Amino acid sequence: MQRVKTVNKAVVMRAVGTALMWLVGIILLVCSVFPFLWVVISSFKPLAEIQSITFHFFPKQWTAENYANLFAGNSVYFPRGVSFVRSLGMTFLVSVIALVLSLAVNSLAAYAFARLEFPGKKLLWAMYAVNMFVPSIATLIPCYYVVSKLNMLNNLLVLILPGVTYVWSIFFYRQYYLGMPRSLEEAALMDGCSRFGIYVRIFLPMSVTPFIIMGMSVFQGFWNSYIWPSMTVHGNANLYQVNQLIAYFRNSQGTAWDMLLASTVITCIPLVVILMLMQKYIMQGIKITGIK
Amino acid sequence: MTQSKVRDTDVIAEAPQTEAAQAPRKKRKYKKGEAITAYVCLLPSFVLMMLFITVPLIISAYFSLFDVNYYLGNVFVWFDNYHKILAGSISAEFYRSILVGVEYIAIIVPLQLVLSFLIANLIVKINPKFSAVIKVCIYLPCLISGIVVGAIFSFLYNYDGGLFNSVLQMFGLSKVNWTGEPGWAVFSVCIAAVWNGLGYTTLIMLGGLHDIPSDYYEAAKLDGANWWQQTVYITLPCLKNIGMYLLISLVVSSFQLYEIALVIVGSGAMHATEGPIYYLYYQFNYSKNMGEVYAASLVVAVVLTALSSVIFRLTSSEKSLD
Repeated sequence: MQRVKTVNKAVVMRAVGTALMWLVGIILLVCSVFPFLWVVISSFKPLAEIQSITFHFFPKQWTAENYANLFAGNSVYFPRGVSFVRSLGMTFLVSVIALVLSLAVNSLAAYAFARLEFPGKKLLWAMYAVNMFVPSIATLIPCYYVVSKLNMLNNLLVLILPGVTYVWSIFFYRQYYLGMPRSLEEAALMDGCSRFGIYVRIFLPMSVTPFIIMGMSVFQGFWNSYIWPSMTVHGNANLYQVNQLIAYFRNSQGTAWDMLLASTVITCIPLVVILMLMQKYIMQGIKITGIK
Repeated sequence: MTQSKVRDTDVIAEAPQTEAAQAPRKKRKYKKGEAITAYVCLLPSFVLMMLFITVPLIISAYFSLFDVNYYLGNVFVWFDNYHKILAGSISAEFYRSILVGVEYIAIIVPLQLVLSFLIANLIVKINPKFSAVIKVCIYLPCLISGIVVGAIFSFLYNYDGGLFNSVLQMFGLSKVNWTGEPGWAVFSVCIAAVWNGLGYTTLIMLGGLHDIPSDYYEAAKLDGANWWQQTVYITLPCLKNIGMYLLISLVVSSFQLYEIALVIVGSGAMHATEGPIYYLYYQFNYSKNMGEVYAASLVVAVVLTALSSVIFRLTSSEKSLD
């Protein structure tokens, strides 16, 4: 009799524990997703309802006018000459070009460090390593000086080039290349393939996984950039980045809630799509950076 | 961390030499074509790195010794700029911004580390399908920029009709000026920052938990250890390296918190949320002497590097680097 009782107690305890875990898990889900959801729902309210003091979860009348106004640039809050569509497109263009350049430039360097022998290799490697540990804040403002001397202010290049060399990614690719078997390239060398040809024909096709893992964070970095563009391209309405625009909608003069909410939702969409498509790689990438 | 890397490079550099030692001696020379290919491969990344990291660093070190004046030209002033920042006319503002950065560290780092540890422990134990959903959802906020996080939270914090105040009113409590009162403003910004970064820390922590061999726990259970004892004697020691990595990166990132505070609070709340980056950016826009700004950015960079290296030393005093 006694035994049955303790068994029951253990079963009950376990059930309570599981229920509690589920409860906490659900609270977690709500906490992480709800702010998004709330912003998405609110973005379909008319401006008067967004600003109203009384609280309604769902809009009294659903409307897409915020989005229509955002895309049409139909708000006094827009900076002069800036259009949302163009700034969205420009941000995308910058992110994609920077992504491609970053993959090419950094993986080439990684290939040289992983597979080629040349005088001064150790010294160069040390130089790269030192640059890796320079905090970005130290170079932010002097970098402005450099680009202004190079006459690159308010130019597309200024958004792209300074972020291309990313020493962490060189380390990452190099580590990956070091783990690749040498037999394939030895065979290719026998057949008279050049060292560069080996990079193009063997290493590039085999770097899909590290490229996806690293590429996503590079794309995200450029898509989300704010400080650097706001320093360097604020004089050129054509180059306005999306985050600059969002920050502009809430400034010291006031807040354009309708524009702020709608632009926030649109800006999140590409990132959410990437997360949904690339879940597996993102988790893998996090594991690798964590081990580092 | 660095040690293992150095060792790594040594191995790589030595490998061809040992091969060469077996082969006739002449082969030890570098092949000309290979070296040229290597330099060409390194050229783009090297040029860009020099141009946008190394040269700016040298420039800022150089100009920090000058009174940089657009109209009157540059005057060499030795360490006067540093003196002004650390002990002179503009030191009060500078120290205030550093203090704000330290406040961010003091709130965000412990909160985020403890929360992510607990959540990671939860995810390990829970039903795998549900945990997969949780993983994706808590990572969602990590994708978006500080500006967007700021936009979302400033909507939640809004004084009239914002979600938080509406909930407070529902329970009959009085409204809180989340973004206007200095005390609340720092707290509000930190909550948004934790929301933004929690998923990343949790998933890294989770990776660490998965790497702990399960026999440890089985042995402990046989000895009758409860959950608390298992956590203190097995889980925490095994997470030491990952914990250190997270600690350093969190300290560095919280100290540099800028975009979230900019959108949520802006220049309000009696400057309570204006951290070092805010200070630098403000000085960059309004300072008459850029030399001071270069000096300040170098000081901030040194503080950052020092902070992370001190933490690195403290936590790796024993042989935690394996």
